[in-house]
Amino acid sequence: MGNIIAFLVRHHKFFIFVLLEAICFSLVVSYNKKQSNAFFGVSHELSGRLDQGFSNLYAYFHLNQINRDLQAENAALRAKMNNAILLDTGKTKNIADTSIHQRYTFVPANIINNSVTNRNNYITLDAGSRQGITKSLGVVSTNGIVGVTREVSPHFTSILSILHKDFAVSAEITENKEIGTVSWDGENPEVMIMRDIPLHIHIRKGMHIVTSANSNLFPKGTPIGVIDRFIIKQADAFYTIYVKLGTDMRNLRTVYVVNNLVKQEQEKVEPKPDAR
Amino acid sequence: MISFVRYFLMFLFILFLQKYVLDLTPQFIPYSRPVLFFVFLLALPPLPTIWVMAVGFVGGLIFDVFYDTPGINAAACVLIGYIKDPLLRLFKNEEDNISYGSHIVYLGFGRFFFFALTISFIFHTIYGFLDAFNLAETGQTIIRIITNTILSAILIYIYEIIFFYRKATA
Repeated sequence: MGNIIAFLVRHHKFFIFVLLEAICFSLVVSYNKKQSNAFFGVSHELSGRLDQGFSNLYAYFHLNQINRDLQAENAALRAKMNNAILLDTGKTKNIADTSIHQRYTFVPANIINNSVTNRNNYITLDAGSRQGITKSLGVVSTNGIVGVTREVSPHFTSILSILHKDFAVSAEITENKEIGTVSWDGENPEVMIMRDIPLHIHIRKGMHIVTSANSNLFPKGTPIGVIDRFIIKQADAFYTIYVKLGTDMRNLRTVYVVNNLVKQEQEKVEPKPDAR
Repeated sequence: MISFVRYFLMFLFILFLQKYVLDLTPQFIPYSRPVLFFVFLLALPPLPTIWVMAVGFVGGLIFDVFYDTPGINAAACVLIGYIKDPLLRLFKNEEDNISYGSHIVYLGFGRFFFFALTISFIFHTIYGFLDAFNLAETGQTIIRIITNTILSAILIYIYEIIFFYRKATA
């Protein structure tokens, strides 16, 4: 304390000078119209920028919540897309509003466990039956298909990854509408194999592979990947097509579980596999 | 007491001179305004810096009242009060015995002119920027500062010669 006082006394000239200048400055900006406009305009601008900076900083801390909200919104938007809608045009008497039924809904979820290196890979999600997830539902990401739900607990879901020997999905080449089956051969987690495309079909590298309408797991047209290369095995009537996956399975973070609302109705009229 | 009354009368005289003589002269250099009034700080009797600053503050405010620019002249005058003594030492290069009241005798004709130029420059820099109060017109402000500085320095020089040099030599 004594030191502070000694310091103030030693430099009293300077402090009084600063004090007087401060008084002058406050007089300038409070009683001169032009100066006060300029001063308070600039200070509002500055404080506004500062506030904006802090708000950006706080937004960073809330990114988790924001991501969750965006996911929920995306899920809602996806549910509104054309391929999520069941067009009900077969009725003899249509009312415009009831001709469109919701066919798919999407539940956002985060991946909390994932593997790509095993022959049979599984993924775990942080959402479960509480969020309305049941067994045997398709799982998609922004860039393509991810897998099928396998086991469901109230808070978690185990997914059979597309990188699994039991996984197969009916797929279609966008450019020529040819339908085949996509599965994984266990070698490269970036590449799946498409079969059942007859040799007389013309295909080329770069064609897009999407899910077909035959699959009741995924909305029609959900991307899978593009044709990387294709070979013809000896004495084989079909191509063996290597499909480069659109989804990077290693770095997957967020996915959507596809809830097919008419799945049971569809299965009811379809013959059971064992009854065939 | 007598010196105080004399100083006060001189202040009134400078006020009158500035307000009713110099401000009414036609503007023969563009952007310029003949400003002399801060000479009342140079004419102070020997005082500690604090008192010089206080006089500058009060005197500047009085001029502000006349020009309806609260704070601008006061700010410039306070800065002159703060910087006057160090500046004198700088020009004369002597540690003590600063002769107040007649700087022209103390410094001599040549040095005093540069001293007046420096003081004017400081005054008009503060005044110019506080008056313009934006950086968009910096070029115009600088022109104003330069012309006003030269004009003020000449006026101070003449004023000191008329009112102090004769007296000091007499």
